[in-house]
Amino acid sequence: MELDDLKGAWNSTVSQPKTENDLHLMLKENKHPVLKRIRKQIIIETAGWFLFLLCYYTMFDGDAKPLIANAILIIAVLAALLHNLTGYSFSKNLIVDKDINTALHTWLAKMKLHARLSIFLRVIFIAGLLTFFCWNVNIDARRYVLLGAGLVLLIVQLVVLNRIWMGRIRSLRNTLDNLSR
Amino acid sequence: MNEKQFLQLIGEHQGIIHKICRLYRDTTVDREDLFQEIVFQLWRGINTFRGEAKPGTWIYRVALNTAIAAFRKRKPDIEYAPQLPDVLQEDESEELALRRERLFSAIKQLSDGEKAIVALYLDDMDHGQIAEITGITENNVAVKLNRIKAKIQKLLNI
Repeated sequence: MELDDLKGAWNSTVSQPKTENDLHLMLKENKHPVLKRIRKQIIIETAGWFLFLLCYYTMFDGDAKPLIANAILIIAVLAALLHNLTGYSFSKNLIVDKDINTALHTWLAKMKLHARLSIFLRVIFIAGLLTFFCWNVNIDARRYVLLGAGLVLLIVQLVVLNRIWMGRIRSLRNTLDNLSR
Repeated sequence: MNEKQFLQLIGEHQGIIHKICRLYRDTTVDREDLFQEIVFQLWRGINTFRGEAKPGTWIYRVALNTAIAAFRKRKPDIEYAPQLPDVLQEDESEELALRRERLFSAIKQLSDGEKAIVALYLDDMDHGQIAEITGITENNVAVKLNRIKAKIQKLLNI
């Protein structure tokens, strides 16, 4: 049996056909499954950070810290929000209108750039939060332990984020190598 | 092209999208998500289709790029499918259905790039058309197809 003999089997694939109405709904950005999930996450996180900013001034001694410490905290929160927004834009704007080899090369370059931006924004966020909470605080042994534990958690988060991006980049690079070899 | 014409075009060629989804995703939920992603990307890129290429060629290019580039969930969710993913045609023999299952399970073991080439080949595209969609040379297409055929034959024990 040759591969040609399998063309009939391939072309006999019939899945549940979509109606015109199903297809019409798929054109809407607010019905897009991945973008919908990211949007939901953005809304929840934005609301959370908004609430935090409303009460941090009195609850977390914002009033006892200098303006620069407060500004750093706000930049950190903005970095977290920007991280989500760039992720949304990245997921929405796939490169699909070129031949596969060209599109994937462009996509790989874009992904590397986005990965660096994503990690950079996360570092800004973590560094900003730590700076604010450690500003003007007398650090005793107990606080050193707490600070160390927090730092380890945040570094683990960075390592995981880095590994996710490296995995995606490696997988795409393998596909490209395999295509052009 | 307006929305109505676009929907009609996609309706007529949706078989291509179904095949790509089945090839690149393992669960019904993931296939549905990819189907929607492809239709969304086709609609966003409608201006890049000027009718110079055949609609099928354009749909294949966008669908394959989307299937390869879009992120996949790392682990499949537990799935309770509301319906079978494929519809058994009334006049379809069991042998044909079995052959299709074996073919898909063999192709799924290929790399993403090889899947793209074999999908285009099985849809009766010539080397020139495959080269145009994949962006590799016709010679490279021929070499790759020979390797893929050998791999599939080995996987299918034929």
